[in-house]
Amino acid sequence: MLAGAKEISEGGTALVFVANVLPSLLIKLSAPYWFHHVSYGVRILAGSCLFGASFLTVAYFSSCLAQDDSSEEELTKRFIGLELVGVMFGSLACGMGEVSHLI
Amino acid sequence: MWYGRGESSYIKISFASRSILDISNFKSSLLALGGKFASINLDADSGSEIDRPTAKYLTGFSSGTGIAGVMGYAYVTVIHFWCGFSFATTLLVANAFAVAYSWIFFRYLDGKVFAPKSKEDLMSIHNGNCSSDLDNSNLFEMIQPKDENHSDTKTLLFRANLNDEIQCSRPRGFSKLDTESINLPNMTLLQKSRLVVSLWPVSHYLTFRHLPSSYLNIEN
Repeated sequence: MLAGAKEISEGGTALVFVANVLPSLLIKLSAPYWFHHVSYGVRILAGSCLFGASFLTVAYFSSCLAQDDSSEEELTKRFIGLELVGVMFGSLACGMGEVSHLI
Repeated sequence: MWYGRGESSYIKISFASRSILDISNFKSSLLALGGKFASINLDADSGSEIDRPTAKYLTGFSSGTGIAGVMGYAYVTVIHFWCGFSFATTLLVANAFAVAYSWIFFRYLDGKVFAPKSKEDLMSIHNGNCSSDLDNSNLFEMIQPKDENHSDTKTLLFRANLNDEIQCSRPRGFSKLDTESINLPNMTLLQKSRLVVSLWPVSHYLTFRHLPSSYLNIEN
């Protein structure tokens, strides 16, 4: 997602970076309190689903944004916001996968 | 980073790279140490400890700063910029990675590499206690050379007198650690944290290099 940060939000790559870091950080901070309740298989499967959700969400709303000819600023912001939600899905998956494989 | 201000992009990039080198060394070293602390292997069914080799620390693959990050950039560059596919198409094709991620785990790793840890085990780590089998009396075995003649051991890092460094470099306010009697099972979480921090000259290689050699007792 970071590689496509400019595609997601040309004027706000910092937002993409934040969306890509914070959820992952939350997973890493909270992992010791709930990881023992969830098996590796479930975590990996959840991570895989989140990756898929992330790719689909960002792909869908970036194509919406590309096709949107209207100059409605509100709509553009909404699309970018939803793309950032997709980035956050990917970040959650990354955090979960990284911690799972490290411990 | 601010050294590059007003200069060419190349200078800025070089300083950014220097910074990343530092961070990567520090991060991967601490991850390896962290892996050492938590390398308890319990069988899922019996709860008994499994005899298997010490975990390999694949720090190069950790997070976006490792190989995964570089691969991501390479993927977008090839598919999106070189092949000319739209960004949306690039991401849709990337779903293959998401599928491969699960498939590789369940096909090759599930139940073979990762032994699920019990709650007691995790709580034990959380409380600062570890299995007695995790003999950490020689904590530095992993970073000290086993073969003195091996070329890898002829690095600046390994030539240092490790114990002296650790004693000399402990941060202010930290109690002196007796490296001869380090025994992880009996150490509290705070003591382990102090030990990790005290290893910073070893773990933070580039910083280590910039310190006066006499301070760190480095042989030439």
